[in-house]
Amino acid sequence: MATDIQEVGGIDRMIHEPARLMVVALLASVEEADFKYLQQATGLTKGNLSIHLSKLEEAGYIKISKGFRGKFPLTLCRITEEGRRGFEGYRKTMRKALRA
Amino acid sequence: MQRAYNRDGLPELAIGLTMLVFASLTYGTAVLPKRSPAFFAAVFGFAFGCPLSGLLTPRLVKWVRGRYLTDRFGYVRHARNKQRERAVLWFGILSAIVFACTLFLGNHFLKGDRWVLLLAGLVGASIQILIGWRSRVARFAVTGLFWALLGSALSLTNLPLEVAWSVWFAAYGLVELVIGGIVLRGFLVETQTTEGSDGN
Repeated sequence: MATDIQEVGGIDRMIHEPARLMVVALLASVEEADFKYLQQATGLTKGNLSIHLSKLEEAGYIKISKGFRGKFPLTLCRITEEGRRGFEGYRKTMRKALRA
Repeated sequence: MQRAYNRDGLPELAIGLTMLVFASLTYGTAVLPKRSPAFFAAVFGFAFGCPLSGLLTPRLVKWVRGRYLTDRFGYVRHARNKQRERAVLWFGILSAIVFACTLFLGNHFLKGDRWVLLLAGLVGASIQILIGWRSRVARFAVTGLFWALLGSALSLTNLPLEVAWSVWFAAYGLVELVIGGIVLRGFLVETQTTEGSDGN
């Protein structure tokens, strides 16, 4: 029991931050989503979401591709394999710790 | 997370309109003079309208969503949903059980062809309730209960079958239109139009 709790100390802080956790959890359940969808779903401001997406991209957890839909800019995000593994690990750690 | 799928109420509006058209066509087959051109138009309209609407309605909803609403809630492509696939399997099993039970009950306790209405109400209700339960969207389950009540009530009336069907389609269509309208209105109020889908 103590060991399970102690595992939380080594939890992935890139995912643990609430805003990033929302983004990663959302992207883990879809193929891909654009910036607007993530903003609507998380309730974050544009600037805040943009910063967190950049951090997740730098960590290799998500892939961002920029393009256009018609004349409007389109930012598409999808989770990478590394991001999926990180999120699964986070879920398992938290589940074990909360059950303890 | 998957709830975002059903936030705009467009499927309900499409189903509602389709049901009202079906209601008028079914009523037409009941009241129009047999062998008249209008009667044949109603019969063929219904016969070809059912499969056509099944094919075209999802595409129409997708087009309207993409054309007018995507800028409000953004674009998302959902991953393969194994839970939904399992739900479809469970639905098949559930439908078979409901079908068998209704057939048995209808043959024993209802007159003539009344059991068809009861069956439609109960099978329709089981679809809606299952979808509502799996997707955690309460309004689907509410519509399902309405189906069950409507089918049961109509099976106890003495209305001719075609007229009972048209009442069934019309009532269901109106309920779907009202629910879809409320959901769409809420969605439009909740979201606001923006210039694009970009963080910068």
